[in-house]
Amino acid sequence: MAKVAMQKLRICAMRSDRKAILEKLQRMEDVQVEPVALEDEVFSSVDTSQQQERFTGAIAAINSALAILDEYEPEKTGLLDSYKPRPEISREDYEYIIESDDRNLSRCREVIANKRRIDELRAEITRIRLRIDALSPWLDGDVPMRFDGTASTAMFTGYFPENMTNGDILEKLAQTDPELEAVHFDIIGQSAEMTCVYAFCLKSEKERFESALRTMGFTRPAEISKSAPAKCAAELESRIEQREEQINELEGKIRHRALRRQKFRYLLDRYEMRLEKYKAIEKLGSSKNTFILEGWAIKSRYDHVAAEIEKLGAYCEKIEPQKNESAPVSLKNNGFTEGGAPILKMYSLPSKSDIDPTSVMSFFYYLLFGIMLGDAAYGIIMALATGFVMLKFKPEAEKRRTMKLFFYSGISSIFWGVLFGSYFGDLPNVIARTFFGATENVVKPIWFDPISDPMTMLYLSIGLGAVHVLMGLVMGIIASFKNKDAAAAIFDYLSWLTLIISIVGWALLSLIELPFAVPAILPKIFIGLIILSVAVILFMNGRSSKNFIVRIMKGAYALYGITSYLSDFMSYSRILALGLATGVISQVFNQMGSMAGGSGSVFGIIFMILICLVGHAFNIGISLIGCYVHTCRLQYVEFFGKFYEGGGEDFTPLASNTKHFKFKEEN
Amino acid sequence: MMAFFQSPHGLVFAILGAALVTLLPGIGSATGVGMVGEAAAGVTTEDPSKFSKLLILQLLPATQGIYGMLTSFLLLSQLGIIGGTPVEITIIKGLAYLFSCLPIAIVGYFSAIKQAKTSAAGVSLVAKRPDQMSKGMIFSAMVETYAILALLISILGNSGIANINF
Repeated sequence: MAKVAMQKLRICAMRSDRKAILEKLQRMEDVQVEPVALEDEVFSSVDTSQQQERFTGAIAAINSALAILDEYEPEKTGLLDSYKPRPEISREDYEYIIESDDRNLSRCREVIANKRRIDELRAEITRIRLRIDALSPWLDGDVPMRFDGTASTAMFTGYFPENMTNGDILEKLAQTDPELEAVHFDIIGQSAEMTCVYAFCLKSEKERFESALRTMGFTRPAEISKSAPAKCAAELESRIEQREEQINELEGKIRHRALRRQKFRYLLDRYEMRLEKYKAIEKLGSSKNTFILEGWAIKSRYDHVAAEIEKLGAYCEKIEPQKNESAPVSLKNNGFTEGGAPILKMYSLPSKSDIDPTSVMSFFYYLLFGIMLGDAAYGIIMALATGFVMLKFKPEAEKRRTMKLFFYSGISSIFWGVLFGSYFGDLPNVIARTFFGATENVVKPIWFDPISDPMTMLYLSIGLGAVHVLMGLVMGIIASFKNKDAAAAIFDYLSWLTLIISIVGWALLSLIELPFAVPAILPKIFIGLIILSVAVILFMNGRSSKNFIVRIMKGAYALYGITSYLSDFMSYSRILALGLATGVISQVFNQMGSMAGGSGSVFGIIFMILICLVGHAFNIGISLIGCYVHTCRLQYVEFFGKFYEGGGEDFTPLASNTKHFKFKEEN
Repeated sequence: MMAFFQSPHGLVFAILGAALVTLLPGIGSATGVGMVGEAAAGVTTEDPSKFSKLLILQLLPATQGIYGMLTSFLLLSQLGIIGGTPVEITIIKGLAYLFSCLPIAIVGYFSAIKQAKTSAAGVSLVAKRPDQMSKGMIFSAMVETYAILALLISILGNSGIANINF
């Protein structure tokens, strides 16, 4: 439970060693590079935006190539695969991969080009199909559609926009131009709204015939075949086939590249690393032949870093941070308490003046989550599932912490579930009643049943809440002493702590008859403490103001803050609400199940099992989300509100933040 | 008049109460979850990897419906309608149950919709700054406090009324 001490350092080295040094640092993951402030005629920062652009371009290309491979040759992945740690890459492999960089990148580009070609071919196929569709009414025609006649006859290809017989056409022609007689129409195809014809006339009457046809609404088709329509359509079909073959071939090529998927992923990671490195180079102060690197390292690692870097011919020294500069934050917690780290990180990391609250917070997180869920069987499922993932896959730090959070919360649920006598809600009792005719509950709570005794649960919730909130004040006292601010510790935190405790103590003594005798002096002590604390808050809270009136006003306003403690305590009644929600939903499903299973038939029993499986799976899902959100809220608002500032910056060392492989150096 | 209030047909009002606590918060939650879902679906088209974060935000206004159902279930089993023989209660006692159901019925409905609006705003927060999701979650959970307080009063009221002889 602590923030790790950080050391600012400076490395000076020859520019020719820059690559080696940065790569070493990147593999050690120990130093966070900061921009060097100095800017003069000797040292300046190097602009690496061009290289960065090149790497981003390559990364984008590899990513799209990988996406294409996933489309054509999907990889089988398990549900839990994302929890597996990234495989590690040895130094030799790493060197080998660098050598094949360019070849693999061009292979990626080839995949993208092939995919683009496939898309183009598909578009062409669509266009050809449209042409075939346009030809379909003409398939019975036996001459090419562009054929325009013999030595003495002229031929027109076209359609009338209505369904007509040969007689209809001739009649209409006679009405349009009675003198045209030497004509002939071949009806090729017909549909409800068109009649496709080949129309013939004497060559000498060609113009006249054409204008008569136009008056009749005769239209030339959009698609005119060079050969007989059926032949043309067949030719188009074969073109489609050709293109489909091409597509198959290209797809085969892409699938073949799927064998290189891992290589592409190496490459992706490599470029990500190089991008990181070039971002770091921008922060250096560079002269013609030398460079300066400034940054932060964890204090206990400094000697190791310095030794390793000096091996590469660099000079390394400790430097003092500037006055307004705050060190990045790295937290160290042991196995039990690190589960809360992701929750803290989601809120904000501790600032310069904060202490690391992870351990206390984690403990209360597990505790409160456990009561809210409050079911032993659900707890067992959570603990088993997360325990399995942790043992089997050994996930990396961040995911391991989340798993731990739910593992210990699950253990806590088992504990509270046993106290409340809840195993899948009241399932054991329902089964005993339905199938074995039990008249009494077979499973009894060790302590009490929240559903039949909500008042006790309410007292428990608010009582734990009070402990949690007061713990926040204690954390405030610790933090103030760490910052050597004893005044804040006493006037801002201790005064409230004694005020709340003495009010609660006095109220308990005067309102409730305790089963044991208390010394008569005790209530008086409490009243004395209340008066003392009120006075301290009233006079000392506004101590930053010189003006006495203002100071008292500020103190009075601070005292008004007592109402917020009341609402803080009441806020913990959500533990009761969520606990009841989990319990009652399971009861509902158990009840439904027993209605089905009560018939005693095999079918009924199967139905009951189904209802219970689906119902409890649903309940676990919805309750976990509820408990997670509301436990977070209690930490963030009620607990952190008392003492925690946040706003610290995460320690982000120069590292290989890669997606697929680990390039870390063992040390 | 008094005879009417003391006639043993109060169950109908108690059931009206149970129906209201299921209906109103249920409608509120359904509306609310729907609203957030629409916003979340929009963000998911841009970035499907945010799905799990958005799902949590979407489910936040779902709890009011559960609280209503919870109150209703507890009341119905207390009245012996679920898993027992129905009790006979006077009209005045039935009315007492009905009144005691009102807090979660009404607060549940309105808080679900208000919470959904906060959650939907949280969705756009996640769209722009996914790292700030916890804050969006907390803003939304703030609204729920009042549904919880109302639930508390309704449940405690109902269990208290059982012991009164009207």
